[in-house]
Amino acid sequence: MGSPFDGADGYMNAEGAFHSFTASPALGTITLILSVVITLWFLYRSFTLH
Amino acid sequence: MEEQAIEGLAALPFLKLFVAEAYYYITGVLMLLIHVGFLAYEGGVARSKNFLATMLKNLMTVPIVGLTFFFFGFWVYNAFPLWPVTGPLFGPWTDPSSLSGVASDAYGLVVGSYPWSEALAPTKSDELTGVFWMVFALFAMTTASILSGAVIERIQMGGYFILAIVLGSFCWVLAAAWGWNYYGWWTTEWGWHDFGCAVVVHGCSGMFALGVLLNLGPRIGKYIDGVPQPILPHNISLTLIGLFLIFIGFFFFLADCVIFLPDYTGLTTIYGGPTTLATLAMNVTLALSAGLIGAYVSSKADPFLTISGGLAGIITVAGAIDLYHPGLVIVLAFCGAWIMPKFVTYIEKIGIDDVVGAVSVHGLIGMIGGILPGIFAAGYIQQTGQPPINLLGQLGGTFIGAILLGFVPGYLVSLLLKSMGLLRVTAEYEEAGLDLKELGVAAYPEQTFVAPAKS
Repeated sequence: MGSPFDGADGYMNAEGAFHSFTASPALGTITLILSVVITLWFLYRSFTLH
Repeated sequence: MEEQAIEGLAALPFLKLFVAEAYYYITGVLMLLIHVGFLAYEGGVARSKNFLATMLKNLMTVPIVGLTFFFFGFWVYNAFPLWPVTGPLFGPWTDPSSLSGVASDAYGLVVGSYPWSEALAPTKSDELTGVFWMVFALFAMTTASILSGAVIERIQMGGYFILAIVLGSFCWVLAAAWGWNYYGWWTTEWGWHDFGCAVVVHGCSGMFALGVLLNLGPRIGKYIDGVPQPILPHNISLTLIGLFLIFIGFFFFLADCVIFLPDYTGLTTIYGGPTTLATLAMNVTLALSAGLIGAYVSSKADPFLTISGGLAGIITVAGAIDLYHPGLVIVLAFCGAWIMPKFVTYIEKIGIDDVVGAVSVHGLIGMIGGILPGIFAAGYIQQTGQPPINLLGQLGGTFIGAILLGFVPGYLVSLLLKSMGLLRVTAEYEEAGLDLKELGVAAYPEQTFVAPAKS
């Protein structure tokens, strides 16, 4: 998690992805799964909140 | 055919300039929706007896900050980026021949920031400084408007104007000079990154509001034997619509955090790194969505807190919204918005009457948003020779921006106003309502009572 670039030049002249999970795609997958879990939990709670 | 091609090429420099000029002009004007939103939001939250005075106070934030930002705010932004760490404080006293390197480059912007500068007057030699000025002035008005909502229904109009000038045309501008500026020393010395002004705007203004609220005190009737009492909005629909307008305005606010100049080959952040509007389109929309559901669950579907959650979600990720993966945006925005109602409850419980939750939504969440890049976007080197984004740097900038430039001046200036009797209206005014007492007119006369003529 963090910069996928070694120095400033790579970042400044990035051609492709430059987000902080670029070098750790597994983290992107984990957060996407968490996002789905959060959304499902929200749907579940919408029936039980009141 | 050849002549037309030559004419087309001749128009190219103008078209490149016009695209940049038009981008900032259009997005800047649309950013005014934030103020439409704040106006409606605060007006709805106020009780009917304070409706007009509340909206008028918010409305007057626009001229009072707009004018003072013209008089000195824009100069502060351009004059302070290096001072006191990496270079001098620039002003009319500066001898440009004595400058070199970065100081010389930075000084070039200062000469266009004085109220008497040709760059801010009608001229064909500079068609961009004026639109940049407008965008910055709107940032400044937004910052002061965040304070506006927290203090409604009992602050003196004049006292508020003084505080709005201090916050909107100086405190946040100084934070922006140091932390939201290509030459700012937080970035060049500490690796600071705050793309969407989580600390520079939100943390600074929210904590400034906290300092003011400590001296202002709660509204009459808010606490009985120390127990907080609900004072309900008189028009929740106006409040909800207002917040939605703020959301729309913030899409443009963040679009104006992007730098686009005529000879650029791509969009950049204020720090010079790459960014795209597609990144903002994705991440702002997802942050808004995740923030709304986070606050909905956390507040048990409280309408006011739920819609504030959209803003909390965006602010949570604002610091590095240009660098976060969409999945991370959803998780962080949800968590930030989930915790926000807990902050609101706590602030209320300890005796601070923050009517719109500004301290929590902007101050505390803004500080979190400023720290998070040190964890989730660490390691980016934004310019050769600068340190990478790091946790310590983010903590340092957050402390200076939110506490030293937010809470401390908010507390001290409001304490001074209080000691002079200029901070709070009298109990008589507060109980009768500010619309009748200050403006001599009621918002809904035919539905409630006949307004007496102003004596």
